[in-house]
Amino acid sequence: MTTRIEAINAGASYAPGAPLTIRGVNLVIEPGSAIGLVGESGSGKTTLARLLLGGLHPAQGSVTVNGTPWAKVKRSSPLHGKVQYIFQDPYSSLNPYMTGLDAVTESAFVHGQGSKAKARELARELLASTGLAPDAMQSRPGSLSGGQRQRIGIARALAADPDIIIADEPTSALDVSVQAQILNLLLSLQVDRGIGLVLVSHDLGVVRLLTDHALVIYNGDVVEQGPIDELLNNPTEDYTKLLVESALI
Amino acid sequence: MTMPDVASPSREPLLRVEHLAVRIGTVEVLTDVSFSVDKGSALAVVGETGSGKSISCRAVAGLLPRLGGRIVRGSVTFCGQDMAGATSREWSRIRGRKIGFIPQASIASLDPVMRIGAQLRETIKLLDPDADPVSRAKELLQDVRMHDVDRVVQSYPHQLSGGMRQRVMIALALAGHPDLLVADEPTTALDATVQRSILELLTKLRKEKGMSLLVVTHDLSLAESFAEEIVVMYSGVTVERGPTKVLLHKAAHPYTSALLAARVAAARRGQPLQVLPGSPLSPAWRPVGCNFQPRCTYAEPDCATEDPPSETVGVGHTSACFQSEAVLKANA
Repeated sequence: MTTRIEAINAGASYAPGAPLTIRGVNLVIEPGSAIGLVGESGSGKTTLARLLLGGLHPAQGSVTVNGTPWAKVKRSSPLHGKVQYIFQDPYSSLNPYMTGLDAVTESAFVHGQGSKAKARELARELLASTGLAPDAMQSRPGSLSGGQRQRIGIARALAADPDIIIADEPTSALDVSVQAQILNLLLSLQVDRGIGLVLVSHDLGVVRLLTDHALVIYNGDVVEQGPIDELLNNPTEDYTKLLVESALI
Repeated sequence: MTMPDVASPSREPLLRVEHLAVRIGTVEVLTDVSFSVDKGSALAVVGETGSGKSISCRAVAGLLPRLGGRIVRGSVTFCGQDMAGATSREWSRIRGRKIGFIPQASIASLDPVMRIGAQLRETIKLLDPDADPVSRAKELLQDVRMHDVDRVVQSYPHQLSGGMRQRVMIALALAGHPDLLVADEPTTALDATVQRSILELLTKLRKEKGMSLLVVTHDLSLAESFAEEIVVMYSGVTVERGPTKVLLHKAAHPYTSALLAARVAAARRGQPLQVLPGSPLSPAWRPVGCNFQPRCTYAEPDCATEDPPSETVGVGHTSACFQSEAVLKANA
């Protein structure tokens, strides 16, 4: 059974009764879909990503995974592993005391990919598939570059055998040259593994490359939503027009 | 993005850096850096992390001693004066007054427990003692197109957005009426729309005040939007310099060519981007011959034995590569 996330008029806030940080989102994500969440800092992109992941429960509308609200999905359910997250900052999202190999092994083991030995073997394969050199696998994050750390973050997400990956600004902290390597890696996940991708970014250029559909978010509202080509060629909202003008594409 | 509408700069060089080599501790982090900034013009210094862009900026602003660094060869000439051997007292007469400096991660450079107005007034008293600090602080914030100036002077840094804090940093750098503004990655970590507004602001200020700009960035597409000339650095060496339009469309160095090909703007949807193989060198180890040769797709046996000299390949366009002609031909 594949994984399907559906948001219906969904919204979230960070405290009961507080103003909604994101509102009125209607969205379906499945394996094979590629969706961009575009907007400026503070617009609610990451809040929406957390809502889709089940890290936040909706204060408005609903977010369901295979028809069940995230709040009713048991902690032991394999569905949690089927939706994985890649963090914005590869410098702070890894345990500084664990090697890359250990971090990915732990993820594989926790998500039921077999014994510790099998999980370690899988971790080695996944890290190699992301292009990480064998000696870097055995290093702690402190001695690795941003690109190498982001590869570990991606391998850690893959270790759960996900159907959907939510990537929160995965290249914004990286050089142009390293950005190209990580974007290619995300592209290969879509093409080779059929993984559904939700890409959070303030950069329409990056979103244009990897997604076919995007939501433009401004101040908590989805101001425009549609096929990426449509948004780029015929933006109707002022904020989308500004984003298109600012994009270096 | 189109090139900014800026009046033609005069050709008098304000800053000239020639064959600069810098050592930090026992490591030579810059080995051969050359560029110049004309009066009223904008130069972008581009390269990957670790290429020496920020160290070059620090050398130009006289800030190497704070990193434990020193100039071991070459020269830094500002307004006709050789600054390579300048004392810290001589630098303090230039830095802030003649050369404004916006450091990398400037958002974290503001004092978190001091109101913006107080930070501006403190700097104004130091760099522009004849001015009235209160009115000058507001004037500087207006210069950087800050809205609601009265609220901003009363605010602490955490009460401002990233773009507003960056505008405050620019205002601080302008306090001493500098002739040259050096900005180290001024838009990194900012949103695309804010990036654009900050670069437009720098271009407008340059036009209004007749300033020169030296801006470090790792993004060639961004450099295109504000600079007339680009310098590309790799592993502590200037590998290519030239007018922006020429360099972006007729790159002569394989490294520049690879950086251009790796841009998101150069890729088609659903198609892999061209990737620069390998990773940047550690300054503690450099190969014999050309530094870029281990990653270069044009490398020939000569490249691993000799340092390629910087040679002219066009008007105002130089490249330090034995294969420049082949690269130019491929990019024609």
